[in-house]
Amino acid sequence: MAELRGSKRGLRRQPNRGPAGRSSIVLFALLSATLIVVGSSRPFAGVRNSATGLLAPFRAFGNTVAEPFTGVTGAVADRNKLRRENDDLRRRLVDAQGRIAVADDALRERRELLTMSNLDSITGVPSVEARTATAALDNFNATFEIDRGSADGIAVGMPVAAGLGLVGSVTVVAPHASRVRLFTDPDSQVGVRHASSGDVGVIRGDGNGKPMTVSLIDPATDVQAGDVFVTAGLPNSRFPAGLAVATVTSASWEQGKLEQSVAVKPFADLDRLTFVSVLLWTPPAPVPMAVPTTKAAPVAADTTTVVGAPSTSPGASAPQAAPTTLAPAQP
Amino acid sequence: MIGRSAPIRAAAIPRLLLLTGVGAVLHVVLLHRIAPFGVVPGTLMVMTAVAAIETGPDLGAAAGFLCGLAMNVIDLESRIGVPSLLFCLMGWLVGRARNRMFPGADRVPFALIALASVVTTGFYGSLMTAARGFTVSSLRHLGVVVAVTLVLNPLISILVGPIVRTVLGVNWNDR
Repeated sequence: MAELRGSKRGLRRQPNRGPAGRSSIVLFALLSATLIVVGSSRPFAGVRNSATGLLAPFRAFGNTVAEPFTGVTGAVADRNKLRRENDDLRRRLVDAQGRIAVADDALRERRELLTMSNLDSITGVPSVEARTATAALDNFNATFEIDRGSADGIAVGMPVAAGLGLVGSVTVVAPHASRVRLFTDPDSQVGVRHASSGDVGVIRGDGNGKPMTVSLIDPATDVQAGDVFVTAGLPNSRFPAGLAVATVTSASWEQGKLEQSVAVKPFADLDRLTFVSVLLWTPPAPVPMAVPTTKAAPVAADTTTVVGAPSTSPGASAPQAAPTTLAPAQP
Repeated sequence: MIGRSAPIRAAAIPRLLLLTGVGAVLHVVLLHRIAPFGVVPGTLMVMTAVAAIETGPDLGAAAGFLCGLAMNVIDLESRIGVPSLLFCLMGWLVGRARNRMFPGADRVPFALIALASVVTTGFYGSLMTAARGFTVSSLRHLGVVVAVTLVLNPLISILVGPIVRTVLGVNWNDR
């Protein structure tokens, strides 16, 4: 076998060594297997979180350096698209200003009703602003990282929003960084309410950028393109009521079917997330069903697979980092 | 030191640790931003493959183990130990394959990096996908990732290769 004549100071290529050469791979494989078994224990998680903190300055540096270039290349590539979006946004702003005036009264009524029904909504929920630290770092998780963590009051399971649009929920928390899973992830389901009619359905993710559908929408419900679905906030829901989730792109119904086929796209622009708000809100503890003869577990209205079980006691997450408060939901 | 005849000298360990650190920083700062079709390059995977090609199976396995640990630090959702196991196996196999198939090659064999990347990414992706349940969409995504990796990782090795050689102290004049 060829062996390179390496420099005296550096490393040189070693030949294959027959059966004796398997000792190294056996050792490293055993070490790895041991890590797989014991790696999820608390001390290892602590070490991992500390090591993640070491990379934080490099992430910040990379973001700072890359940001201007990203903006320039994006602006050049998307010039026409941005111009169209700008026109559209101006038109919608005028429309929205008119609606705000009408909505204020309805909003007050809604708040009172939610209070009477003992349901949560995003109104008044404190939040922590966070910067998206990096783009996706691997290929098999629809997740991204933010630069705030448990030191800022963030806990696993907390909802993440961009403006008033739902982005996802926190799945992993380190002291100064967290991992957020998008609600478009195939593992996620969100209980939603049709903002115009109040009809309740479920949105299932199919991966970011992939079309999503809303199920359980009654054929009689009038659903139009441009309508908005918001989080339903039903009891045991993982998200508070009132976060805009998706906008309808098309709706149709075939004779004989029990539900409409409603295609939607995310309300928030998930491809251009720079800053997000982590809502310091944890889902209320599930209320056990008072049925003495059966062991029926309460089913959440929407579920998101999370790494580690979230603390689900109401109000368990006291804000620690001068949280801001989200504005009331737009109608 | 691994066994009596193992060639992993103590002097190699700082270089391998440095290689791992450089790989993690390079991925976090720069290379993860190169994502054609949304597919992120496997920087640490490529570093393992190049290290194995340059130094042989034993150091390739060691580099793979350490790069796997770095992967666990970069990706908080990865299962601790799984990338290490896959990468050390890949490093060892690539080192052996390089000695057998390309004993006198002057340049890094791209075909070997492409093959190693596709097999490792496909296997790792399958494990991740299986853990969450196979769907048509997830299988399609896996196919896209593997296809892009086939081209992207060898291209990344053009950038990563000199860095690995410099960090490991491989003298180009000795080649």
